[in-house]
Amino acid sequence: MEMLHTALNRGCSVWDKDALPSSEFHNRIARIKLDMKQQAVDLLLVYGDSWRFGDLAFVSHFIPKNRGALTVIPLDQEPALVIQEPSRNNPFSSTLTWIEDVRSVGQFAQGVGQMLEARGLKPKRVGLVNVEQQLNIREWNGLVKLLDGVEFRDLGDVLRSLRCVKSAAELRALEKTASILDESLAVFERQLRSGKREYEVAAAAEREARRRGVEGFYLSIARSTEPRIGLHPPGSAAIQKADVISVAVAACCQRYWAELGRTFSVGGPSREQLQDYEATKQLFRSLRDGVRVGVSAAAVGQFLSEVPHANRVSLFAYGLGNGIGLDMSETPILAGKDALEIQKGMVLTLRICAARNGFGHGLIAQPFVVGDKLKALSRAVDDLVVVEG
Amino acid sequence: MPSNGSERRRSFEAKLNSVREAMNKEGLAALLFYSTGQLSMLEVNPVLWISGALPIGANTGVLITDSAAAMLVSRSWDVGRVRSQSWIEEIQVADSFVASVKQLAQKKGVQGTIGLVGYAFMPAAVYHELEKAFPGKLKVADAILGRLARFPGKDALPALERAAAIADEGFAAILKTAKIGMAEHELAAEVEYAMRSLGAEDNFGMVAASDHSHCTHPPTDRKIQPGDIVIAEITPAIEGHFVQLCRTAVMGSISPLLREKFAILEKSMDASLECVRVGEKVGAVATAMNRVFTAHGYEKYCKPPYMRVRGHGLGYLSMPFAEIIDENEAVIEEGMCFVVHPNQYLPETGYLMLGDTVWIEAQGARCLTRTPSQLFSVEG
Repeated sequence: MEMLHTALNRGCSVWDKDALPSSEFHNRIARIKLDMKQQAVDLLLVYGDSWRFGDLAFVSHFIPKNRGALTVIPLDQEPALVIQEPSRNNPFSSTLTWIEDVRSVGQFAQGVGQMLEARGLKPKRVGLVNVEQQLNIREWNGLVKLLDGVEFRDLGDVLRSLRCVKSAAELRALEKTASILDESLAVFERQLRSGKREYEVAAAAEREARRRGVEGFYLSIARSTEPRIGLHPPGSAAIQKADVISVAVAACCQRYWAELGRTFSVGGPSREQLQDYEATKQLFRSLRDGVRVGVSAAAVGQFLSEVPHANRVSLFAYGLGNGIGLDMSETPILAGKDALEIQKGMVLTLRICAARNGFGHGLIAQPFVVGDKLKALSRAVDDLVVVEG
Repeated sequence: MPSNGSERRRSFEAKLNSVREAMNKEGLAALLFYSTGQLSMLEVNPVLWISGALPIGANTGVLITDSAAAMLVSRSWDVGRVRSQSWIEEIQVADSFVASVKQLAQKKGVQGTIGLVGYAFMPAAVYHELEKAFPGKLKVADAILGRLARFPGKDALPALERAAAIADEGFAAILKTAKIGMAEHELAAEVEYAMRSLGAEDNFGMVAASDHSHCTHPPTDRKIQPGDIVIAEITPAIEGHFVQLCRTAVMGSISPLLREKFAILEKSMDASLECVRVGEKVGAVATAMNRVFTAHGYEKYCKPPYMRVRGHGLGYLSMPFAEIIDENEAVIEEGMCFVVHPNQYLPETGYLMLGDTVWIEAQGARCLTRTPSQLFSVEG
């Protein structure tokens, strides 16, 4: 689920070589080069920024701190990483990637130009992943000028397809991030009391996640006493007795994201609130039951056909779920236009966020790995969590 | 921040008037303020600046014409929050940003040239689509924002002062919680907690500990050792305004060498602050700072790859100038707010940090943070 971006990825910034060894990246690059060869692409540029870095991290393991970076992959040579940052940051940035040729530059065209010249490369057909979509127009114009006469080809689909099914190392990384969020939500539960401000409770949950080594942490909250406002960054409003609180948390650790959503009642919930939450829970179970190998991602929402239209609005607005991995939201997007079939080894966030009058938001979100059955990557908490008022 | 719509509108009226004046002067039929959704402390966010709200998600914008203002957000569930923060009443959810801008421009009768504010950070694909939708009718208008967003305004002072007090608490958390054996990221978590639990919305914060740092960087899993030098760049935001505090602390007693070298930073800070006054060129601040280091034989270390800028504007909502460097000819004016930092790599000690955010008043610079300008020691 989309959350408000922050100015800096300021959490624990390391490359855990045991969890994600160089061999993992060599395998990925080798598979990408097969596609490059097939499409007669002799150079591939993969861009990512501090917010949307999935493709970049897939090929480099690098996570940009506050701007962006470009991986340059020649068909017949080792890749280079070009980072927009002051040159003094280069030694530190080099610790975050398996790529040896790391260049810190003011402008991407300058870095790519120097790299091509140093390697004696004169590409004819250049593949692009996320370059035109994310790189700003001034930098784009610089690259186009540098690569004058070259044919560009979008290779985004190649990486999307390679990233859909996760490797064993990726599954372990995803599970670790999910377990950190479990602990973070446990702290949230302990801290949640009437009278506390939203940001006070959120700060405690964030501290727990940061202590455990996340690179970035995001929390959105919604309260039944403010039903007109959806999930939002924590503010100064105080939690009230009888509030029903929905919380979505997301974090990345070793570049791999997890997202969890849970609903809390401050003091005993009313009978109506319990009934409403029970309906949310049933929807979540129906969603989970509908996600099976071979089903198209678009068809996953069919179980909602019997839900009254008014109750469906928030479900579609927040989304029923998506792939999760190096991006918080990635292919496949469930119940949308994505015709991709669910496959074994995909990791999906399943999400039901039901906003109803008088209740606010009932939220359940959890990551699962797809196998013969879905396996939860986090603690299965789909009950309404009741805390003392 | 004003709590109801009409108060919010009143507080934005002067800004809106100056925007429309600039539009007319440049012959623009409308201005499109654009945000990618990727935030950076070193940039003014055009959508936040004009609307008072920072929408969640990519590709959001505000279209201003002579008589109308409308906002495009990307998430329907975010409309309630945006509405509660912005003076703009017309808020639409855009499934496709450019198609929605085109519809909106048609609805508002925009026929002439549209100025783009936020062009510098606009993804190429978005710009290319806009070019197709408005052939020959786009003009880069980032300079308008550059001119108008130089001052946070006196209304922002309470938020700036609150952010400064929170930054002080952030550094105090280092002095209270840093311990030998603690990982850098655990210490950074304590700094973050201290500030977030007081309401900081964001933080451009880096905390690192080493016996010889080459630069500041996000924390790692390195365990803090006796004698380590902890460098902290702490930058909380309140209501979209960032305030930065840079400080250094030693795990254990301070060696005579370190004390001697840190005194150069203190001297440099004093010399530069004397130049931070109305009418002075920004470049003079950097020159004064560099002169002190040069006098101590560190001229080489005042240049890349060791050092580059001696301070900068603080973004999201105001940015008097991007960088404090020798070549900056911009003139300091009353009501500006920026950070001055003689942070310095020295070969004997590694990277050391000292920096404060100043608010410019008629009689000189007022430091917004209260943490003493000194080298600290942590018993740990």
